[in-house]
Amino acid sequence: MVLRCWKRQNVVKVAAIVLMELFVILLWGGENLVSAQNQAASTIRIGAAISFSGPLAREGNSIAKGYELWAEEANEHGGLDVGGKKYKVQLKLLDDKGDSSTGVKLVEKLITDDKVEFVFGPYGSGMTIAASAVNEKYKKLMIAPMANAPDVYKRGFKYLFGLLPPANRGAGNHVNILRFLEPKPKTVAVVYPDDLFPSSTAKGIKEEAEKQGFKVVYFEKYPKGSKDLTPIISALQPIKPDVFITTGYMEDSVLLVRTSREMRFNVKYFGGLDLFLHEDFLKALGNDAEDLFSHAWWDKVANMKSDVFGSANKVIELYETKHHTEPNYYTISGVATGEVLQSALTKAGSLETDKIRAALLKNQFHTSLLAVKYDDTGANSSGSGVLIQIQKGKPVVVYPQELQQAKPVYPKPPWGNK
Amino acid sequence: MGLQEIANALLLAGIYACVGMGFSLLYGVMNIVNLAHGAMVMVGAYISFWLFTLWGIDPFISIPASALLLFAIGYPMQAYLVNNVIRSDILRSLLVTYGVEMLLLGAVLVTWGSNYRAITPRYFGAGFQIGRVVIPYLRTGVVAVALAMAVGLNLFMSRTRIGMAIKATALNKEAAALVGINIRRIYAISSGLGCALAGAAGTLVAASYTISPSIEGPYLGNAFVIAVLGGLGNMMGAVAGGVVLALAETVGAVYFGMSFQRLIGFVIFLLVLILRPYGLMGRRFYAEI
Repeated sequence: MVLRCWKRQNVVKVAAIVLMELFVILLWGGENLVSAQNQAASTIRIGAAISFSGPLAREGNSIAKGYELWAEEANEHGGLDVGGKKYKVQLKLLDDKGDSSTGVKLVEKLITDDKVEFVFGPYGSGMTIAASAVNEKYKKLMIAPMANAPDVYKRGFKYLFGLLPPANRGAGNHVNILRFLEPKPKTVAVVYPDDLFPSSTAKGIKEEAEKQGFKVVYFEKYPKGSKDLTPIISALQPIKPDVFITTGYMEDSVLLVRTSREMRFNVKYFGGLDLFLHEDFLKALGNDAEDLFSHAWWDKVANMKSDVFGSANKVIELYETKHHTEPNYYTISGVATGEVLQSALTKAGSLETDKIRAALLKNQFHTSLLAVKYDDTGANSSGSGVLIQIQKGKPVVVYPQELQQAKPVYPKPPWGNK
Repeated sequence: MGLQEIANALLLAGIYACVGMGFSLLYGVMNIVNLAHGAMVMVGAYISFWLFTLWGIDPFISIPASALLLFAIGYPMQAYLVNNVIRSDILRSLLVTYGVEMLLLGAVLVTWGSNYRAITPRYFGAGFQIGRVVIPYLRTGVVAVALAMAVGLNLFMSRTRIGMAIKATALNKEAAALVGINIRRIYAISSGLGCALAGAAGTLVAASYTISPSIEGPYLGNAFVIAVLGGLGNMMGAVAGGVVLALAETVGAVYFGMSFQRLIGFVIFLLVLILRPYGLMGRRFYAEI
């Protein structure tokens, strides 16, 4: 009876509002129902704020796949073994959009709201420096796969453990190989975007180069996200350095190579960081990536021994079965993050943070990414990388000598005119 | 600053001009700040990327395709979304275009992911050399397209009926309505046109740089500066704005270091606005709120 008095518009409006409310309650309530259910079983909740979108999305997504693979494998084997009891892994990953303040808020939410017991790191030193302050405050352990600017570990934090050794150790390989090249190069130029990790790595390279007797003739930074790098190449052309190294990110590294090609800037040695091996980089440059040198913390060739999986090849196999494509090194680092936590939990035999922390500091771990031995600051003090050169479109390990697959092509042939 | 740097700046101005033109049209004619402009440039870039990757179509040839597809996005956006809020305060149209931006960004992210893509046409890297100055073919092509677009649009606006109707509507929309111009339709056409220009700019961006969904933010900012610098609503002004910005950035980079690139650009922007508030080539009747 009452309904007949209502105008049709009002009914629609009210119905819409009620439906929306129901929807919201269902979503919110539903989530709580599920987590309440899980709290009954033995689970370990692990959270991470990671870049699914934004400028770091490519790397963030790859790492997230690594976390997921590790969690799936752990659960398929009944869960993590802690002191004789098995715990299933429940992973909660949120999008930090490549923005450190978003990441900070999300980690806070994960710890206080979602009550995660452990935190996995975001992608990048800048993001990790910000996010780790949160888990440090709440005394929750964070294992960060990709945070190896030296500054990350200089803050006296007790609850942050990294995976990659500090950056200058690896990038220094670009300098180490130089003495094996004929004719011996003399001058080095380094350019980098104005951001934490690239600049501290670039400084490390400069120090190493000067220590080994090379002359650093150009050392310049450019704004992160710069769309035009022609002034740098213009400035370098009269200087004619033998060696040109960049610690830039994906977009700017591609731009540097393309601009060098456009402006016919030739060097004998063109080197960069691990992203030079990323498929997006190689696809973007095509033939122009030929003869570029890249540092890598990981290469399939090394087939690292893994305490949890047996070997890196096993991890690659598992990933290929699930995703029908090869994992990249970011994904392996995600898996290795899980491996470290898993091994530490087993060794500690307890879920108490202090016991796990002690286990992390005391033991040596072998992961599918690299060997891990922590110093007091939470930095990985073992493990070194390799130098890879793109030869005929394929990455080839050229340094160190023990792992060398082929001799390096040096000097780099000048850019042709197609 | 050497000749090479000047040449580089002029070539960079080509991209800047294209990016600014579409934005200038919408802002100058309709007072719509199209927050989705950067996203539309990005969509245009992706369209060209896929045309190149799937069927090998050269980016310069795919310009009409991305322009047409973006017209098909811009026209309904204006006709069905923005036209309905255009009479209320400017914040509403900002919100609507912001929503369109998020929609486009999300759609691209979901469909094609966040990978970096690049187009490498066969003539990439090749160029001609005048003395010690290297001038790549690709960038020269971009400049040529930018000039063609500016000239073509100028002719369109002054010689065709629709073009003149657009100008009339910009001058005084009540008077235009009085003489029988369908304001809503003209707005929709202008919006479509502006978005088509964004699409064309996107193609050129895809040919010159790597693209990913994250490029849309910086291009919106650039478009704003270039459009206002050159004078809103004026196509040749967008070219002038592009040239000034590119030169300012290059001077900043060469004399003060790369970090000053954007700073000098913005300083020049502010100076021009202080000295000539309507932009380098702007006229009073555009951009009157």
